[in-house]
Amino acid sequence: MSRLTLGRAAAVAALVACIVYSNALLNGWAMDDSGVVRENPAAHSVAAAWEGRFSPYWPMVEGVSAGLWRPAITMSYAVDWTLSGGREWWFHAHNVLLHALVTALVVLVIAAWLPPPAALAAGLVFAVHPVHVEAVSNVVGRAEIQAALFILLAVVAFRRARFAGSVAGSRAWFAGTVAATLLALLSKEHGAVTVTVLALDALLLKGPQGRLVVRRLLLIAAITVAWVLVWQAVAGGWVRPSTATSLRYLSPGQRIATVLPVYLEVVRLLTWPMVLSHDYNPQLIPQRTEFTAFALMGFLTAGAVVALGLACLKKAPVVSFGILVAVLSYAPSSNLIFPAGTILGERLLYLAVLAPACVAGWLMMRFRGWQWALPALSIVLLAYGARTVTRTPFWKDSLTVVIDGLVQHPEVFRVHMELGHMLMQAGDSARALSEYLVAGEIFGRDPFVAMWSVPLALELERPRVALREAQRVWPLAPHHPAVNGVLAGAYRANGQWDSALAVAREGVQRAPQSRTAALVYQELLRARDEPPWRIALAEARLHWRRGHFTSATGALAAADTLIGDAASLDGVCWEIADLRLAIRALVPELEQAAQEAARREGQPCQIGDADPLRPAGGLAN
Amino acid sequence: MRARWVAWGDWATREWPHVLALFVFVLALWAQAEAMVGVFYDDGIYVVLAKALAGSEGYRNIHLPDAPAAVHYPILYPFALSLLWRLWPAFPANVVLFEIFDSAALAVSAWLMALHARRANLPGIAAPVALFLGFTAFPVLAVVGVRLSEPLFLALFAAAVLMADRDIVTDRGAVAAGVLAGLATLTRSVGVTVIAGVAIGLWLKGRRRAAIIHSAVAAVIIAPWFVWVAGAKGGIDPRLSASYGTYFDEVGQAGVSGVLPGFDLSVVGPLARLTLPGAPGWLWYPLVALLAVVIGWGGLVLARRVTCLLASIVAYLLMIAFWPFPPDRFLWILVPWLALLGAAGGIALWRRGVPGRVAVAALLVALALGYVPRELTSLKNRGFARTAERISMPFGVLVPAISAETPEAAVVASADEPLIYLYTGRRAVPNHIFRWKERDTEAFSPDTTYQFFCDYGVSYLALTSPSANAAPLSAGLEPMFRVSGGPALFRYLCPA
Repeated sequence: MSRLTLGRAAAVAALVACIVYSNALLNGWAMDDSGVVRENPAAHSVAAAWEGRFSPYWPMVEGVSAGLWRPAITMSYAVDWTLSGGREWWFHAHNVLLHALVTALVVLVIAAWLPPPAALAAGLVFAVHPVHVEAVSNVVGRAEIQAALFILLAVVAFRRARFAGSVAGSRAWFAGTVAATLLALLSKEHGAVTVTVLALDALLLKGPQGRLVVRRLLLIAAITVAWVLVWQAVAGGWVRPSTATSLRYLSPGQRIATVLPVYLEVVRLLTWPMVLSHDYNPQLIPQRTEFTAFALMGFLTAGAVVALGLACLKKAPVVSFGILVAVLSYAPSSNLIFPAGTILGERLLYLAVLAPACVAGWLMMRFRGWQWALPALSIVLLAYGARTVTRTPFWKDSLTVVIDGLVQHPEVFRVHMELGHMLMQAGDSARALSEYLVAGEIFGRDPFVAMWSVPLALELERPRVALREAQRVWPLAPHHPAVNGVLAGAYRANGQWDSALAVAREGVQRAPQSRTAALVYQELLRARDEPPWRIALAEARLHWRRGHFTSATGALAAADTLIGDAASLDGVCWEIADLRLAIRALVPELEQAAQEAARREGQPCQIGDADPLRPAGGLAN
Repeated sequence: MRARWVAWGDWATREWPHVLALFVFVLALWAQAEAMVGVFYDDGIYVVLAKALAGSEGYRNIHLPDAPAAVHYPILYPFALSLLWRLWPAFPANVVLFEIFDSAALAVSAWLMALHARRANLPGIAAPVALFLGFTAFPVLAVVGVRLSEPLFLALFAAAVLMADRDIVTDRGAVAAGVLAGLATLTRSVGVTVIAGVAIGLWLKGRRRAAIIHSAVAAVIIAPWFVWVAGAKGGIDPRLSASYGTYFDEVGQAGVSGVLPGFDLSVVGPLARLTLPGAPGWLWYPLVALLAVVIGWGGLVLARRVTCLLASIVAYLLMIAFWPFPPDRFLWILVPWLALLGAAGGIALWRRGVPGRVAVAALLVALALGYVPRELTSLKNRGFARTAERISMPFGVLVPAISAETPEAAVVASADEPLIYLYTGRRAVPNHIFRWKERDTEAFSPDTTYQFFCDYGVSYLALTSPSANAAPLSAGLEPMFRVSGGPALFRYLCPA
């Protein structure tokens, strides 16, 4: 070991990473790989990827995307596809190679505080850690690895810039730092922590160019701020208030009560990752609406970890570096400050594994004279390595993930939903419906299960089941136009027209800006053969929402005539009140006519004031 | 403990320009108006020209049916935007890149001005505070919140005078100052005052060789633009020359009587109104005098150290005083410079005894009663963006309606015609044509306007409000929809 140079240590760690993940090359496309790579035209050629450089990461399906912006990742898929013709093993080999590179960089970065043997120990822990399997063995996990690669490259370049002997050299390395930061940002949102990682590194490893460090960090901070705006412009419109299912409809306090126990699981995953899951939705991590002992333990554990990181700043900077980088990299998805899109994902802990790796390296340095140090490390590495090797085939393909996931964690509701989707695709609608119903039974607070279960039940001519499901989820999201539409459809299928119309009408009332709600209502009116004036007003509402003012004017004028001719005007007040903005703006006479008609019916309308220009804001829905 | 404070003081003294630059960058991004591009007309033109350049269509007003050459707005800012447009050719999503560019330009301005202020050796924290207040002033935020060329101009202006005001100006420094001043002129035509100011400043400092080199280089930089203008100005329809013609055309229309009122120094009027909004008329002249004394005193104090800056600012003020257009927008971008000079003047006057202190105190009272409450309200309610957002509102109705209900080949007459083109793809012409007359405008007759509509194949007329500036509605207009009290869209049939 005494002849172990830093370069050799990095090479050995990288080689071990390659060996441990060699069976990943046998994997195919699994889960999100299909949507993001296999069926995504932008990932099939460099020209298409360049063309879509400012498009959301998730491709458009029927004009809708799941959002995010990671052009550097899409470009890397496109390069792979061009070179390999879309062969899966090539993509997996790329991931494994990237992981090996990151491992080597980990060794090089922490060697600033550790001798090569200890840095190697840390690198080996990083290389074989089982939490990495989801990122390395699944193609779309590349975003994590590539972002980590560029963050660490930025650290290396920034150090070289700080310690460079010449001004020109320093500037060149700083340009490299900026480039690496940009590539990290364009690889994954976690790249936003690069500036704080660089600041931490500068704090722990003081260099001769102290003055320049602050100025350069300010520049990188400015670049990060600019990236946030561009990200928002590209992906923001597609990213709805992104909340993990477990955290949906919770108050901030309840969110914290649910999230704090997750930190126990994070620490467990980083230290003893023998039990893994591709999905941590309920009931693997249950929703908690009250503070529990688990929440207290989670809070104390997270606090202790951060405190340890801060306490070691001077005495064991490598431990501080590992822990604080882990905290920084996990913070954006921690759900603590703002709700993120997922409650917990093993891939999100990719860079956080630096914490156990750095601690292991420091322990090896601290106890290098202890005869059991090496055997203890070997046992840990063997255990980690064995788990990694056995876990990798889990990501063979989507079917394996879903079936094995169901076997290992049948308590996760979403796995049943995924199985339901697969059965639907296979044409087994009856079993698909039963899986959706099971999902709803396991976790009853996700209203969107009904988006699949209700239409499927109706298709299978089980209207009562459909209605029961729709009624079950409706109170969870009564403002959601789609949930309203599902319930209205279920009532309609059961012949309960009045209830269907009432729900559809309430949908319009609760979400007056929604085209979906307007469309559902209009279709029901037509199907029920309601009075023509009411249908005309519903049409006007749709045109108004779509910005077709001429058509809206025409429909309102038609309604004006029809109201004058109608025998009965039951409900006219409600219809007019809902449309008052459009009416006042486009056909002011109609409101007066409706008032007259309503008085005739003996129920004067109460219609409030409104600014006729305000609906302009509502046109963008 | 004391050593730590000293170290912190050293750090702050050393790093404040960089911290200020980052602060201004973030502030400018925050100040972006949630309005459509084109609400202030010029912003729409800049982006249309950027699109034309990015699409290799030449430097032309491609929103007009005959796409005449652009001779009014200098090319540099649209060119910079066109590079960003090429990078992300999806409007309006790509506007975020323009916002970042403008914010970065303002941040660079702040950084350069901070370096200049440090060189001027203002006492204590006067310079950081003055620049902080100058860059947070609501008129500055209003300007940077929309796509106008002022931030880039200010950056080039600051760079040019910083280069020229150095203790030793080498030939290379003079060349750089000339290039930067030339580029400032290619950003905003009023940049010629920077060329002149730097040349005068260098001359006054006895650096005549540098002044000549600077002027020659700047002339070389701007010459191609004037050649382009001279060659292309003939293609502009005289009915559009008030908006699309050269500045010489405009001055020609305004006449001598449009220039002479500059002697009344009304140029500082907007500054007086800014200092004490709503001040009664009798207070206007004392306020102007007070501002002139404090800022002018600052100029005198710093005259030796920032000669080129002062000469440029004086030239700039003279230019906008005599130019026959309202000076407000031209003044706002000077606010940070004026704040700096005001701070220097205020400190110097305060040290000169009772009369000086009275003047400074009077100005501070005026600011505290007038400007400060308005500034705080503006920051609290984003009032600086309100005008742009209010103008944008009717277009929120018109744009989707025009997109949905007119054919792609339609020509629309509208206010802010560049905006209509950018958001709907329909060619657009102004619905109100006019010419300059002295310091005001005079509309063409309705017959001329209708003839203009017919000549340009106008098929739709969009109005932002019933009172919108347009020819009186009469025959040939068929209403499509009319929002009561709001915008309206008409089909237009040429009578002939």
